[in-house]
Amino acid sequence: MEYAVVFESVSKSFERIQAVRNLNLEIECGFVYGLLGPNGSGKSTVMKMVTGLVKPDSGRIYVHGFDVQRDSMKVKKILGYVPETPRLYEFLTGLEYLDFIADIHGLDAHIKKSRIEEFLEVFELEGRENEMISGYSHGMKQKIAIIAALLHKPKLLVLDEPLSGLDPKSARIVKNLIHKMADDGVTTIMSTHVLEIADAVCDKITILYQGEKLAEGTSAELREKAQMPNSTLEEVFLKITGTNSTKEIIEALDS
Amino acid sequence: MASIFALSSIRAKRAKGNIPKGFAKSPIVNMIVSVIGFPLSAFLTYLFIARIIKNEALIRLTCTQLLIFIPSFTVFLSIMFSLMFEFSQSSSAASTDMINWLPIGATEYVLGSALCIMYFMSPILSLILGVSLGLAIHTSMTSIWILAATLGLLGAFLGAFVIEVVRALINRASASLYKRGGKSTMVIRLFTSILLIATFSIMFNINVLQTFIQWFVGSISNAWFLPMLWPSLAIMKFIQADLAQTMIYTLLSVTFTLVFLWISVRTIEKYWVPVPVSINLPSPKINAPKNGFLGIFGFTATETALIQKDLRSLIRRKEMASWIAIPAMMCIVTIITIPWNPTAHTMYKILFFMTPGFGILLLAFFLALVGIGQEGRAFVNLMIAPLGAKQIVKAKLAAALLPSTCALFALIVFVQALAQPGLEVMLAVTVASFAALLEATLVGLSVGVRYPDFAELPRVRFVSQQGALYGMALMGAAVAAVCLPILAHLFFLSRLISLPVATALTLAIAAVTCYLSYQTAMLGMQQLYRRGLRF
Repeated sequence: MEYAVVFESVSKSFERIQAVRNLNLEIECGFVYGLLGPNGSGKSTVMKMVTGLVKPDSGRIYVHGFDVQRDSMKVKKILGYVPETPRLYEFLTGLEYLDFIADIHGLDAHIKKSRIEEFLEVFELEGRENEMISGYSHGMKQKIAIIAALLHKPKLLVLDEPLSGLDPKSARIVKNLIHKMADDGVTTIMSTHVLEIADAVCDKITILYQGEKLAEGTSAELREKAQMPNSTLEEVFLKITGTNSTKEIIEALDS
Repeated sequence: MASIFALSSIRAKRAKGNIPKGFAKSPIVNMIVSVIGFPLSAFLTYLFIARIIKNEALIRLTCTQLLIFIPSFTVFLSIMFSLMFEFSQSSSAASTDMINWLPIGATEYVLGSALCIMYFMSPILSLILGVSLGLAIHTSMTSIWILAATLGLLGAFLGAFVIEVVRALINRASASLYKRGGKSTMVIRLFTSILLIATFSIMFNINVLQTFIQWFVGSISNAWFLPMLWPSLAIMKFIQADLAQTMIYTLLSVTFTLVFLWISVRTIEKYWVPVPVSINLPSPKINAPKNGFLGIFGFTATETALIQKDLRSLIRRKEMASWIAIPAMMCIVTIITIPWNPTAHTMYKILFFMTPGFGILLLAFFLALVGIGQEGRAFVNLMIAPLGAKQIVKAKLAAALLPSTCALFALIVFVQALAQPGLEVMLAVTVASFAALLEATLVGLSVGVRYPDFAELPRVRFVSQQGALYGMALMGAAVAAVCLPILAHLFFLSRLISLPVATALTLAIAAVTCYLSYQTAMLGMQQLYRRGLRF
């Protein structure tokens, strides 16, 4: 079986905080892979390590057989990344930004033009593309970041909370796009706090907690592991991560 | 009252930005410096003025001029400080500032803002008031000083209130103006920013200040209709022992300040939260990847895209305008303070252009120094893109060199036209100038890549303070080394080193130092990549 991403005993710490502990992952090509976990569980660090933005302290990461550290240029060519908060050049217009990203990836003029126009239309940004990004709403910036990640047709998409700030229609478009790209063999790693989205979109889910992998499998497999076959993914998640005692906290807050 | 002090303290800390931990973090430091600085400057002035200026009449004249000037100067100073404060704050940061949603009234907001400006102005205010007190005691004009100091403080608050009105109105007007104006608004904003910074810098030039004070005192009595000058007129009338007019102008000044406080509170109430501006820049088409004329110099389409992005950043970001303002300011100062003598010796004429020339070197140096840091958190775009360190270094160098080379070329044309030196001298000056420009740019980048500051809130700085200091020192040393042979020929050793030899030596030194700086920049960029993201 061909793997899009492989983590081999990867660990990472930031000063005293152990963000990721001895993580082993194998993500199959064409899969939509969900990373779930409470805040600070290491999801964003895992994603940044896949992109090469954060270096692991130990272990190795491979993307389509390329070592992220040694063959970083080859990895970057086949990778699209949407960070948790869009980091765009706010002094450029949406169109100029996309034009710039396309040039960085060396796209031909006609391919660039058709893809940008197509995506602007799909995400309903037509008519706003000549405005400077500094005036965009969070959702619009998120759309531009998603388009920028898709422009060069990556083989691996790394999406950190991709649907945050998007309106329901745009969220639906992104979900459909992810499915369509999976059909075309594109692998997606995405993190989300909205468990219904993970349930609906992801082929496979990993639950991270305090930098460790607690469970992995399809949502049905996770329910089985938690011995909660008829429960929602949220209930399974809360049980697995040991954070299901929320009732007492709410009662304490009420009093 | 407590909320006003708390508010002013919050604003002052936000404005200071990412100042390192410790003592300097608190705005109270400015107040402490002022409390010590005021009596010290008064004491030192009183002690030494008679030794510095022997002519008692001149001391008296200086004191009179200074006392009349103080209230108008504090109005101006306060306005400039407030504008500079606003200048480096991003509109998105301002719109989400917690001050906007805390339970604070408009009066508290305005007074808090004014107090915040006082924190920053206090060292300069204390210095001016201290020096003038020393002079006033020496010349027995203490009673006039008391009035001048009181009206000076009033003037400082007046300036702060004026700016609150301006800020509120700008909040209201900017969104629609930017939407309508497009590219022309960007140009207006750039020039306004440059003018503002250049004015701020020039007003602290002692020669300019002295000339202005003399002119100001001479013409103030004809400008009685300008409310901003009423405090100065009150002092002038007090010196002339016209108590009735002194009372009138003092009362008018106080009334005018209170009226402006009222207006600023009302305008802030109406237009409080700044709206992040939305600027429309029509672009007819998606560009085909091209390297244009930069291709002649070996730049690829990707590198050209990076350069184009940085040039847009230079023109469109208000935070970048300060780097363009530096050479502009140096040119203006030269024109104002150094008289042009068409009959002077050629070397004198060439030296006239040295200050603007150094300004252009600084432009290139600063653009390279902040080249990496100005990416901010959007640097992630470059880190995840299939770009090598060499491509980024080349693009950053070109982005810094392009505007500065154009400016230097224009300056050299001016030198040739006005000074008309011989071919040999002109060649030497041209070689040394461009070699120094390249060296300054390379040093700037090699330091900037090691000490970038990617922080965006509350203020941008682009390079760490440590990096800026190292960079300035290194640039000074490197440029001096490059220019040394030619300067040595011109000023000391013309018989030992001929000009062609000096020019060749300059070229050789430049080649070695530029190569070393380039390699250092490359190494720094590779390390930055290896280190990974740290924000």
